[in-house]
Amino acid sequence: MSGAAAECTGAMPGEATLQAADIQHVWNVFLLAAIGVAGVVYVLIFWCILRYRRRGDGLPPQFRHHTVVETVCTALAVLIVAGLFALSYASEVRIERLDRRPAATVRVTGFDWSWRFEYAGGGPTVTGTPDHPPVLVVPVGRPVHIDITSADVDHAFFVPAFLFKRDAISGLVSAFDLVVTRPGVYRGECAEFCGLDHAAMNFTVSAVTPQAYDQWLRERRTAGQPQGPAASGAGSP
Amino acid sequence: MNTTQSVLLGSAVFALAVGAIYWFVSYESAGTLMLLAMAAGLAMAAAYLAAVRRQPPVPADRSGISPADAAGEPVGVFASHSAWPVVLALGCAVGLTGLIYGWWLALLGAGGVTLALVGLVRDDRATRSR
Amino acid sequence: MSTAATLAAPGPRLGLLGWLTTTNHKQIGVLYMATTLGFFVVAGVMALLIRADLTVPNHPIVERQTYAELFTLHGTGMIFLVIAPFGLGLANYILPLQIGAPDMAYPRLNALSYWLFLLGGLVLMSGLLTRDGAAAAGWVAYAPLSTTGSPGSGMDLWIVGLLMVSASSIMTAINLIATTLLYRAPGMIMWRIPVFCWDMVVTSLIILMAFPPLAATLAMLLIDRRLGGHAFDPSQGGSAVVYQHLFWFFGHPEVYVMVLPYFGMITEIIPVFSRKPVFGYTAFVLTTLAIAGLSMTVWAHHMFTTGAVVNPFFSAMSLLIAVPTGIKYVNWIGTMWGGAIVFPTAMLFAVGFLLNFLIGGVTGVMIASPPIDFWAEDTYFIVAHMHYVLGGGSLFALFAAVYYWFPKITGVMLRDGWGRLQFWLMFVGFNATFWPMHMLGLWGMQRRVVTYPALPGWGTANLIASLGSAVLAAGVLVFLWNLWVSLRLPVPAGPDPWGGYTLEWATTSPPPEFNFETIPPIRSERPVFDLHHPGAAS
Repeated sequence: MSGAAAECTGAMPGEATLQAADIQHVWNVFLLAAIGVAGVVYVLIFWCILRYRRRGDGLPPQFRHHTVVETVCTALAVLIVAGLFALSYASEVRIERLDRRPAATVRVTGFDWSWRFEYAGGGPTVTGTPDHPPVLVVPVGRPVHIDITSADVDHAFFVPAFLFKRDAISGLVSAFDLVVTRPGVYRGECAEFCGLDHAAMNFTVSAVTPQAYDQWLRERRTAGQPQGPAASGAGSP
Repeated sequence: MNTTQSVLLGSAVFALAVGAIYWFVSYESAGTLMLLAMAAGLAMAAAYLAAVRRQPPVPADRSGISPADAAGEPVGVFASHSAWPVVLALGCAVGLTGLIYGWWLALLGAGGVTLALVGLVRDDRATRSR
Repeated sequence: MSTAATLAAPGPRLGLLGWLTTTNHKQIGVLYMATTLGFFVVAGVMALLIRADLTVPNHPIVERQTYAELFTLHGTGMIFLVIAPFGLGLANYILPLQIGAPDMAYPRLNALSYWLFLLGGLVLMSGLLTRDGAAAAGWVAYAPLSTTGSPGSGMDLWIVGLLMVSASSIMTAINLIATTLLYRAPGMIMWRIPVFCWDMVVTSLIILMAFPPLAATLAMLLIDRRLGGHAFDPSQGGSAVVYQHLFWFFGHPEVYVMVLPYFGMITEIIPVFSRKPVFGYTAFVLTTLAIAGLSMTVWAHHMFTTGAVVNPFFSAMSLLIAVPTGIKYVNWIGTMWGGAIVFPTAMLFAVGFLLNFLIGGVTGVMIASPPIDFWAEDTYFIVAHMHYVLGGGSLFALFAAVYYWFPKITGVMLRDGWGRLQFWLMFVGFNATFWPMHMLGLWGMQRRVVTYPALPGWGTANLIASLGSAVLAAGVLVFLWNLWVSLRLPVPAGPDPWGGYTLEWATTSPPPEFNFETIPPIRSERPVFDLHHPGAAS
């Protein structure tokens, strides 16, 4: 499988990009709410099954409803859900914001069964194969604009450490920004079933200092060739 | 308007409202069309029930009545035992696989379907006339 | 007082021809449920193979193509051939009894539904016998993978089989609604029908709204594949995103078709074993209707990561649908509160349902948030969520219903001792299998992969899940044993072994051909309870 997995930076999820920090925060709030609500419900269920065991033949009080309880619970549920929505919506707006002047623009194309990264403005093209996953080099701390699409069936560009994915769909170009905050090598995978080698369709994101990134660009440009193990075009449609 | 009519009509109005909101929020045609079709289907069912409103209402909808009050009256006619459903289903299975494997299979299936449909209609006529 | 003492005995045993030509709702119900048990075993074995394949990192035990067929047929089978049809099959048997009707409104249509279901399921599975194998594009069959990416005839057989199953479901939905409309016994107004019947009527409404789009989508797939269509071919002006809209407009309501009947079953069982009426009958009906309506508006929460839909609209509706679902817990807890509870196996499974489904419910709220979904979508977190609601939820409710109504259907009791063993094996096994998948998903393990790398924790979590699946399977084996033993050495059940509330308990076990000789007066949703406890005011 992906040998790059051994080199990947052991960043905690939620620390590698600006968006990941946002998503992690939303997750924490939702988790707290879930534990809170589920905890209360579990206590009530266990209370019932322990406290209200049958003893004897008598009928317990046959009440059918309690308007106050039902109304309060409904109102509480609506309030909790509304609060969660507000938090989630604000976060999504931030996550999906596109910077007007990104440090780099990369067209990402998913295909059966690897990825192609084309850097705009005369930049290099990196194409991978399942045996040689491609590397997406990006500068740390700067917004990188990604335009993603597919050359054939649906794929999805997923970097677990970034807590983020976006689908690659043929006929659709979808845009998002990545702002990596921590230098390192991050494992990426395909997250939409696409056929035989879906599990082998990996890549890595290499976040380097802006200087190192410029250096990398210069080297690729002077070399004048599309870079990557599949320079001969193997694997690209 | 009885409970069933209310449910259908209410659901149709809901679907229409959501369809309208969805259109102005998204300008996405597939979802909008499906929501509007849903509203239309539900409205059609509600309208049909209103049009064939039974006179007098179904005994079951009168809350004070008891099964004993209707004792001895015929409830309805219910078919018992028919070979046509399994023949029809087999005809469908064979006919649809004919779409994949060849028109001769589709023809065979269509034959079975026709046979079963004719048989079902005749059975139904016979039951009604009894 | 027993109204059942003078009722006629059930009819003579049927031969093969009798079963092939029956139109009686009880026999068709039995056929449905027995068939779903068969498909459950098949799809379950496929799941065990999937778990075996994933036990150790970098160590698949099946070919990639085979693996894809396994998860496709496991998902399709469990959804279309087990969980949904069991609810319809049980409704076939129980709904006419509970409303005091002699049969379903359209008995021959009912029989047709069953045969279309059985044959459709067999056609769908028959792809395994073809040279290129069965369908392997997942149960969702996204285009273009399911069109240009799946050249073999297994995919066509899948489409055709599902078309038949769809027709079957639509027909049953029509039958259930018509039966409830036309053949309720006098006094059985809609607001007195059992909650299970309400849930089946609403489920039927959902089927009528959701399955036609599925049938249309399947037909379009077939046209794209075989008749030169390009509806879902982006290179020719079609749209892969529209496929997802069409599919999920069906696909999301479908999950409520797989859950509402089971809510209804639980709401029959908990009141009886708590010796109380259902708490909040009106609220229960209204929240069921709310769930049905909202379920048609949330479909694109399955498409949050496409970047092609208005996420906030679907997020808001998806979060909103948690409210009526949560209110049902108020109903169930309120029913048990202050009650006199006993725990036969049916009640054990019912409480297991409450505990498990809750977890699936709260993870569902989490993934209704697009930011969280950007992380969790298409990972094992989703697999955990769906199995907690459909496995820990619906499947546990299924077994609760089996233990509760088996005596009515067969006239004999299922052994309670074996039932308890089955429950504990399944409860422990189920949670051991699916709880670790929450972590796996958050750590980044994606779905539908034949194998995975040896990243920290992944191997251990998968190992626990696979061991859990073996324990779960052991529980199912105990159930099969219980079935066999209980039928071989029968313990007669009598008309009402549980102190039931609803009309099916006012007749023999099993009921005679047209169900009732006499029907007691109907003054509430609990006519048999009222009969046995005159003057028990509420």
